[in-house]
Amino acid sequence: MNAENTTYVPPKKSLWQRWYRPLMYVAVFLCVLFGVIFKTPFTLNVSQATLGVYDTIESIPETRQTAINEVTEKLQSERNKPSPDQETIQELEAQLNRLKKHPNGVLLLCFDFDPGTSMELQPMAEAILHHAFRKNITVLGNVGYNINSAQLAQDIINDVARQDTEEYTPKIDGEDYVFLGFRPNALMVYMQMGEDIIQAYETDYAGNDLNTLTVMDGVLNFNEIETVMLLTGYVSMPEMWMNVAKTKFNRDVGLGMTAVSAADYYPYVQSKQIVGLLAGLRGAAEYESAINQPAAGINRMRPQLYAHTLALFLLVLGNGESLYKFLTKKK
Amino acid sequence: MLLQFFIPWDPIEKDMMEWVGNSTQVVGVFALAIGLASLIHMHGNKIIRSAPGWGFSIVTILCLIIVLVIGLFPQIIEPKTYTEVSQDKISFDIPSLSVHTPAVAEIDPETQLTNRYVTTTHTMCGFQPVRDYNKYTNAAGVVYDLEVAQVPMFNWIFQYVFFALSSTTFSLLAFYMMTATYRAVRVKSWESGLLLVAAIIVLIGQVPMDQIPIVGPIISGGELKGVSTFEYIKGLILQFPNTAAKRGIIIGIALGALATSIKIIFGIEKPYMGGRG
Repeated sequence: MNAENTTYVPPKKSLWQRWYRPLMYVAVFLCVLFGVIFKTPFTLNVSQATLGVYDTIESIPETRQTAINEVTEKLQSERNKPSPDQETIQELEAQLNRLKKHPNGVLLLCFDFDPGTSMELQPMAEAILHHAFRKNITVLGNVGYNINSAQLAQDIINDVARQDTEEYTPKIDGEDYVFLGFRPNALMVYMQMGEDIIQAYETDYAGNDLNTLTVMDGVLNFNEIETVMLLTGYVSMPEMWMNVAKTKFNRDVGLGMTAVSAADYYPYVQSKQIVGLLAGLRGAAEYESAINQPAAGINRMRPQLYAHTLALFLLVLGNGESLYKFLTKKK
Repeated sequence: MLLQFFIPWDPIEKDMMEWVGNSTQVVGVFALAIGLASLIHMHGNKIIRSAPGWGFSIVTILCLIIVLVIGLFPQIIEPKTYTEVSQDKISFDIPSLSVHTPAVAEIDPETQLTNRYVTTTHTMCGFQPVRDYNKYTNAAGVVYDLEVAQVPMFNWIFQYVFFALSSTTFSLLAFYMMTATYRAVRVKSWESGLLLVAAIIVLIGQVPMDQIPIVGPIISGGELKGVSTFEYIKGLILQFPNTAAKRGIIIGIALGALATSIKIIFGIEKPYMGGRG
C-alpha cells in the first residue's frame, strides 16, 4: 500500500475554529483587566453561612466572659461544700487564672492554603485577623497540612498585626498573637493540642520557645480557645478539625473554603457541626462587608463578576451553536 | 489514637499521645529524607543517561540545592548596635549583607513604648531579598531585647519565585475553564440540561450581576426576598438539593466502608494481594 494513501488529512478548519481559543483567552484577560482597572462600587448581601462565622468571632469576648463566670461559680460551689476537694479547687483556680489572662478570648486560625488558593483564602484570613485584632482577641495561628503554607501564613499574620489602623494599635508578636508554624501529621498534632499546645509545638515558627512567650501564658489547650477557624483548599482537613475540636473538645469550628470545594460542606452548616462557612472569594467579600472593611476580597470580586458574565455568554454561545447544528442537520 | 477517644485516662490520653506524636514527627522526617533521596536518584539517573528532558532535571536539582542551602540558614539573629538612644527615639544599625541600614524606632511620648517593630528592606537587583524587623521593645527610657531577625533570601524565594509560579500555574485554569464552558458544557440529554440550568443559576448568583450597568438588572432577573432572584435560588440549590445529595453520599460511603470492613474482618473478602503483602 502506498504510504501517501494512509496519511490522515484533517478536515479543513474554519476561521472561527482556528481562532476561537486565542480569542477567548484575550476576552478573559480583558474581562479581568476591566475589573481591576474600573473599581465600580457595589454592595453584597451577607449570607447566613458567612454571618455564622462573623457572629461567632464577634461574640468571642462574651463567650470568654461566660466561661470565666462558669468556672467562678464552680469554684464557689466547690469551696462552699462541707468537705471541699482541694485538688478540684486547685484545678479550677488554675483554669480561672488562665482564662483571665486573655479576657477577650482566644481564636485559633489555621492557615491551610498555598499560593495557588491564596487568592480566595488570603482575603478571608486578613479580614478575620482584622476583625479579631479589632476586638482585642488573642490569635494563635498554625498550619496543619502543607508546609508551603507556613511562610505565607507568617507574612499574612505579621502584616495584618502591624497595621496601624484607627481600629487597633499594632499587635505584638509573642504578646497579642503567635504563629506556631507547621508540624507533620496534622491529626496527631491537633490531638496533642487538646492536651497541651506548648508540648505539641514547643517553639513558634521563628524558633522562640513557647514557654517564654507571654501570649502562651494562659493558653494550655483547647479549653482556653473559644473558636477554631480553618481556612483551607484541601478536602478532609475540615473533617479532621470537626472530629477533634468539635466532637472531642466541643469548641466552635468555623470554615473558609475555596469556592470549588465549599458546596461539599453545607451539610455541616445545617447540622451545626461548623458555625458558618465562607465560600470562596464571595465569602471573603461578604465577610469584609460584614466587618465594614472593604479590601482584597471585594476588589477581587470585580474581575470575577466580569469573568462570570463572559462565562455565561460562552455557555449561551456554545449551546446556541449546538442547537443551530442540530436544527440544520435535521433539515 | 482511637483508644484515647474512649479511655479518658492520663497514661492513654497524655503519655501515650505524646509518645505517638513525637514518633510520627520522627517518621515524618525520615519520609522527607526518603523523598529527597528518591528525587535525587530519579533526576540524577535521567541526567547521567541523557534521557529526554534531562535539562529540566538539572534545573530541578539546582533549585533543590539552592533552596536547601538557603532554607538551612533561615534566620540569623544579631544583637543590635545602637547609635543613639534618647527619650524620643532609638537609632541603630542593622549589619546585614554588606549594607548597614540606619533605622529609627520612635518612642511614643504617651505610652513610652516604641512603635514596636521596625521594618527595613535591602534591595538586590530591585527586589527585596532581606526583610529585617527588630523584635519589639518596651522602652521607657530603657532599651532592651532589641535584636534583628533577618530572613535572608528564603522569604524572597518564596515570595517572588514560588508564590508567583504557583499562582500563575493555578490561574491558567481560568483560561482553560473558559474555553471548556464553550466546548464542553452543552445540552446533550435532559440530565445535562438540568446540570446546565443549575450551573447558570450558580454562575449568576455567585456574583452581584445585578450591579453591572445596563444589562445587569436584566440578567439577574429582579429581586426576591431582598436579594437578587438568582442569588436566592442559588442559596436554595446549595442548601437543599446539594446538601441532600452530599449527605446521601457521605452516609453511603460510611455504610460501604463499614460493610467492607466487616467482610474483611470475617474473611469474606480478602484485601489487595490477599493479605500476604
